[in-house]
Amino acid sequence: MSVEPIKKRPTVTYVVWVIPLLAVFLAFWMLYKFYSEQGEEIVVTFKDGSGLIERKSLLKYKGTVVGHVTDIALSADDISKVDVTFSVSKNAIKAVAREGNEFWKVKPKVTLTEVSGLETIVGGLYVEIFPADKTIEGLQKLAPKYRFVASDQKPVDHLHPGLTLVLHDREGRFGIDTPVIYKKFIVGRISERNLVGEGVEYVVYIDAEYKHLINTQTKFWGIEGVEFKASLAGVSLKVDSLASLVAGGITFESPSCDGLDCIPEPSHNYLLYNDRASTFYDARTITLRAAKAWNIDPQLSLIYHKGVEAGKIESLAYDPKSETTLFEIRLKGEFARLIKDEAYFWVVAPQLSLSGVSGLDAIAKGPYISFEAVGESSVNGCFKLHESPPRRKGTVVTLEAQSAGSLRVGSVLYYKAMEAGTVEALRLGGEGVEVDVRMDEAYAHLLRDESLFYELQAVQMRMGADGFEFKAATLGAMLQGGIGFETPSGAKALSKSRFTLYPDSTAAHKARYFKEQGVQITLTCKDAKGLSAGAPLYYQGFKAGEVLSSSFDPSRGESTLTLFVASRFAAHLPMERARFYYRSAVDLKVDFPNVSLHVGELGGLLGGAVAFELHPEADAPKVLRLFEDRDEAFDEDYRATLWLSERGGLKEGSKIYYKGVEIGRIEAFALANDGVEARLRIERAHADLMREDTIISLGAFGFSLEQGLQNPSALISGESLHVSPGSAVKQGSYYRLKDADALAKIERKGLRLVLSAPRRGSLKEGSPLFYRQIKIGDVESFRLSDDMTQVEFLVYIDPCYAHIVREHSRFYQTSALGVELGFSGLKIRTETLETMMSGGIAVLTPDEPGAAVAPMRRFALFDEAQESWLSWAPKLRGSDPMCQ
Amino acid sequence: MHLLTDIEAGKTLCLECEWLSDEDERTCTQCGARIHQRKPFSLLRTWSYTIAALLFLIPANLLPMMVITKLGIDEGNTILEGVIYFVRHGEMSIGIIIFIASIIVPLFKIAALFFLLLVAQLGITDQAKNGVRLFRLIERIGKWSLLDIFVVAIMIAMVQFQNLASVKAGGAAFAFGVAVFLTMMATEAFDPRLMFDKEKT
Repeated sequence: MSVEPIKKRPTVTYVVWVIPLLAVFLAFWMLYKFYSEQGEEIVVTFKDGSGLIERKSLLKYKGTVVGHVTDIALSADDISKVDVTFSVSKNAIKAVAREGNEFWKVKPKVTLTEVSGLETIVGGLYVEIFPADKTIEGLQKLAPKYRFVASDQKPVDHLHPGLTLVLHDREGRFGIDTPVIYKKFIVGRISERNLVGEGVEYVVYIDAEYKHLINTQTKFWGIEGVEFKASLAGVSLKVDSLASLVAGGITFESPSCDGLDCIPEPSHNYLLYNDRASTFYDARTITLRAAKAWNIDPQLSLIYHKGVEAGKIESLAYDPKSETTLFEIRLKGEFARLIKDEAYFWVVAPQLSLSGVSGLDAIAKGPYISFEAVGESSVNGCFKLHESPPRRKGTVVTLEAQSAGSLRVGSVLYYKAMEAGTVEALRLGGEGVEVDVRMDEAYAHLLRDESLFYELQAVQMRMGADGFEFKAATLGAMLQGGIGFETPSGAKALSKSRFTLYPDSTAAHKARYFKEQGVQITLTCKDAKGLSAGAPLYYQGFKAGEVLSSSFDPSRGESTLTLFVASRFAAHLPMERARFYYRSAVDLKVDFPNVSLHVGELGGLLGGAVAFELHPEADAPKVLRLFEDRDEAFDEDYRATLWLSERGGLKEGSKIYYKGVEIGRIEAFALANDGVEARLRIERAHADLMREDTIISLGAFGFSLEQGLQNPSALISGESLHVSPGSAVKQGSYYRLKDADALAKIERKGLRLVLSAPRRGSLKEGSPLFYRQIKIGDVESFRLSDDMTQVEFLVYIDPCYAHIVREHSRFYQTSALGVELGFSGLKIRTETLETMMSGGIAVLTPDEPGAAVAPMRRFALFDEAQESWLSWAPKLRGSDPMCQ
Repeated sequence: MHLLTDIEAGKTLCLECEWLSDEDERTCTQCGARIHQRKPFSLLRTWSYTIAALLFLIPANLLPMMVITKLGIDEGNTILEGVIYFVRHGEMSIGIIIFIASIIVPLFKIAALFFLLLVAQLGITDQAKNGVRLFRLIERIGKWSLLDIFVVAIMIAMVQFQNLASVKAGGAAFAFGVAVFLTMMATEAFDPRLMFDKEKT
């Protein structure tokens, strides 16, 4: 037995026991740490525990996990609720278990207005906590609390206090979470809705950042998403944001507001209007008393003031006591102020008479109420609803007539088919009837001493020796009868108040012409074109007279028009030079790229008119004919005929060009001589281009690599003809169409050579001729040589380059595409892109070029160039000054 | 029956080359290794390791062995819960294996160590032969008790699907590993010959 180990024993003994001591410490520290992190428990009572899973569902704050569900049990006090126990992590419990914190269950929500809680679809539902205070310190000052009741909805974020408002509505149209939308931004939501008395109260929460948009004057209204309005005036479909489309929404407008009371206090009360329009309405209603309802629909009919929508009809009631209809109307704020004690309300109902402008819009809008603000003092209450608009101010004149005819009170006075006044009264007086006419103030200036009044008869028919006359008045006058009046220009101001009412316009005119001096001119025409007595005659846009009568002569198959030309024109103009033509009301000319619409004088718009112009030449013959249009009247153009084998793309109106300038057009086509004959109309000024040997060719759209686009305008405006004038002395009148290409070739001047080659290769007509890759000419044609051993090419060389070709020049074919495959790789060579496609000819001239060549000299065409040729670089100077 | 011990014979056995040297020798006369008649402080070390192991078994069985995060939700499983999990999900065999390896074996080993220590401490030489058999058994099965650690290690390595599911080692893994290590240290420190000695060193 050894002594030494025994001596050491005590120290070792103690050291060894450190291990279990350490184990004790470590093991219990681990346990402590684990259980200390387990956290404390809080209990939250939910109405519904669905979706929460023990040990799975989490308690989160802003996405971070602060605890999880440890137990779910029915509430001890209320079996309809569920107590959920959460284990909250140790470091969070001090903030979580505080009075005032709110809990709510986050569920996935996918609606059009909102997508939220999507993570819960995958991760399961969780419970979110809303702390009562922003800071940890603040939270820790609050009383501890371990039992909570969960909120049903997402609690309002009171850490960033927005604005809580109360909106009152008659019906609960909107649900909780309905967005409040401002300029398509969601600025808040309905957080509560309650039934209060008769109506509904919404508590609206406006987010803090949009708080400033609201003031005490703010008007709220509901938006329904889709707004559809249809009327004859148009259809308008307004779709609001997609969100509000389904869920609806509330929007608002804040009028500017200054002052202290503009900032709304929390829970400020507002009214929720039905729509934006109703926010404008004045709070007061006005009662209108009317004899009948005129089919006015309280839902749709509106109130207009000077054509502006001014209000709406709230309700319609029948008062059996007074046997009247009572309209409750509400006007927009700014219009309500206009209503004074003498305000005049009347109904505008659609009238089928077409007699006036007033009724026409009511067909679209339905009957509506209009008013005029008259009077001084502001007054509320009851007004009479009149059947007719208030009488307009104006001048009253008395007309003397033989009989009242179809006139009655309310018959309209027309000026150029425009309503200018009304008949106010009819009475017997003097030898006939006296008619009081009130002229609208706006038209009063039209009334002059020379004004002619005549009765507008519905249909006027007269048969006489000179013909047959039929005349219809405006539709309005047709039904109601009316008075027309005319005032000749330059008449004196009104000085009398009594006028004669003629039975018809002819009588009136006749009467006038007896008064006014003038000339009568009789014209013949093939087609009277509906011209009848009264149709105006214009000279340079001025009314110079009118048609007195028109008649048809069956024996000659012609119509005769009698015109009256006022003396102030006839006396000063050389009428023998006048050319009369029919002036159509609307003249539409489509002439690519211009479209011109010419609208004639308004007077001629309906029935057409006659106009005249003076022939420029003093010795022009006198023509008493009515031409169809101005063109015809002054037509002295040159006519020629062109024979074509077929019409092709040409059409009537196709243009004829000379050097790009339009000189005429095709007038007509006719089949003739196994082809088509086109009648060409060449402007008179260019008639001398049409010589006997003039060539006319077709300018069709073309495209080639070499020349690019040819006549691109032909693509759009159609084909055209081109003239290249000849030199013959005699004017020609019959031509045949020449080929444009051939024409071009004949025309060009230059050097022509003949090249001969054993094969044609890829050359064709038009194949280019290059010198140093610059095109100097082309192949005009090719043919087999006489002995059939060679192909002969006729080559054209531009005169500017003619001097390049000399006696010793060499021609060779530039093959379409040369491909050489060698050790160094692939080599592709081609002269130009163009020859790559179709091939061409190149010419090279040696350093000793030799003499210039004569036209039609023959050269050999080699298959390819010899290497030595390519280094030739002769100095060749041209002499043609045109080419410099 | 009495067996002659090396102490009675005045010899010291070399544990390296199994050569019997004289009692006085400090090094083996054959291989030169340091020799002791008994492992120094064997009982003392074994006691301390065993008690430490026992202590570590407490958190090892109470704390979660591995933390499985499924879809962001952590789920801790203690050893026993793991066994229950496997059994519930029809993996009866794996459950039984883990149960044996992680619960029976460590507990059995510690119990056996206490038995051996008591035999050696109190000099119950009658039980010395049983003690040696037991000692051989625990030496052999000792390493298998780390099976649960392997399971956790493999799971950690294999189940890493980021947000979908991942496995982390829990606190118990460490405690368990330490406990198993300490039992192995205890087995290592124990000198079974002490059980046969009547006179204690």
